[in-house]
Amino acid sequence: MIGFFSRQVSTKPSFCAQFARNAQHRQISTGCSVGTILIRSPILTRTPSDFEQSVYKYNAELWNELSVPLPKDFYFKKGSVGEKDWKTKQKNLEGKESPFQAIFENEHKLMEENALPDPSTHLQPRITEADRAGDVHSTQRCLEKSLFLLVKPTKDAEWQFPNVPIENDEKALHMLCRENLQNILDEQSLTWLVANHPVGLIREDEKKLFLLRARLVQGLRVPKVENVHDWAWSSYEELPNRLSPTAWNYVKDILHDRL
Amino acid sequence: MKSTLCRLAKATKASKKTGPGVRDESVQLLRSTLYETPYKTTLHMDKESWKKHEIINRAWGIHQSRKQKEIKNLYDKQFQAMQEACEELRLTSENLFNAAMTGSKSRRFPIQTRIPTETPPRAVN
Repeated sequence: MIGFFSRQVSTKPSFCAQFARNAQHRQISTGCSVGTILIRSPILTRTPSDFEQSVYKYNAELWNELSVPLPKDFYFKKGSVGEKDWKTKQKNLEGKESPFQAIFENEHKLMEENALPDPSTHLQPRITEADRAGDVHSTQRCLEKSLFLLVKPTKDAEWQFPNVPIENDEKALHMLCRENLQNILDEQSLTWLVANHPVGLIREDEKKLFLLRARLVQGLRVPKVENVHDWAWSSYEELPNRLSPTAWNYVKDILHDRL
Repeated sequence: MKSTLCRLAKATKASKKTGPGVRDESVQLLRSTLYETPYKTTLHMDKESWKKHEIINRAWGIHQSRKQKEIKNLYDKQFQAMQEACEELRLTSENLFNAAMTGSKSRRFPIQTRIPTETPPRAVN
């Protein structure tokens, strides 16, 4: 009998830990707080790596060689104007990588000279001013990656996810998070809580921080952040430079470069 | 004048092909474009370029499987962290846990969500 019990307890390590914790009689007042991981999702598509680009090019060439040529006798009558027009266009395509290059060649030239007939079709550059300045307060940095909001509530505090302490169990976690975000960000910036339940948990010397996930819906509009000493929109690579080592340890598996 | 007109008439008549022969030709053309597909089924490559083709395909396969493994790993870790956090919440406070577990199944992304594009938008709303 004793052997049976000891086997049951020893094979499940989580059971042991849970049994111990249950006995501790947890309370909310023991340093629990709830925070938000506010994500500005990437605005631009990822640039393919060199390997991927070369594979795409190789496949495009193969595709061109294997593809069926156009039945021009069906579409163009011999000696017609249409046929001549088509032949000149085919000659024009010969040196180019893709048909789009031939079609948009003129427009790209005009764009560089700022001589487009309709200026609203001028393409914007992928690297913004905020990128060049390294402005951490702006969400217009790193458009290819996702940015996470980190906040310094007071001058001497550490960089942390925006959080509030949980006083009692009357208000739900997601309501507390929403209020906190409304407090920090200005009225017009839309945030959307992905779920009502926590997505992660950071344990730091007896304190528990439940993390809920939220998204900044309008990514390019830079929200005004108030009621904090300092804030930073950091990418995944910059997070370990700001967060404390314990917090980073808990959070590094959950987050990604492009979330 | 009459001779030139006659010559013109003869010339125009000769260039226009008429009769059942023309119809057959056009029908044959239509049939061939509709039903016959001149596929180039195989592209003949020499041994060297075939080896290169094989290597390229295998490298692409390895690259893709690596990416998928990364994604799967991320999802597993995220789910694990979520489960642990929710379990901790349940053990801390029943009321908060019950409030956290609410949520309708027909919940969707907000309608203002944008998807990634090649270049950033001109106007910032």
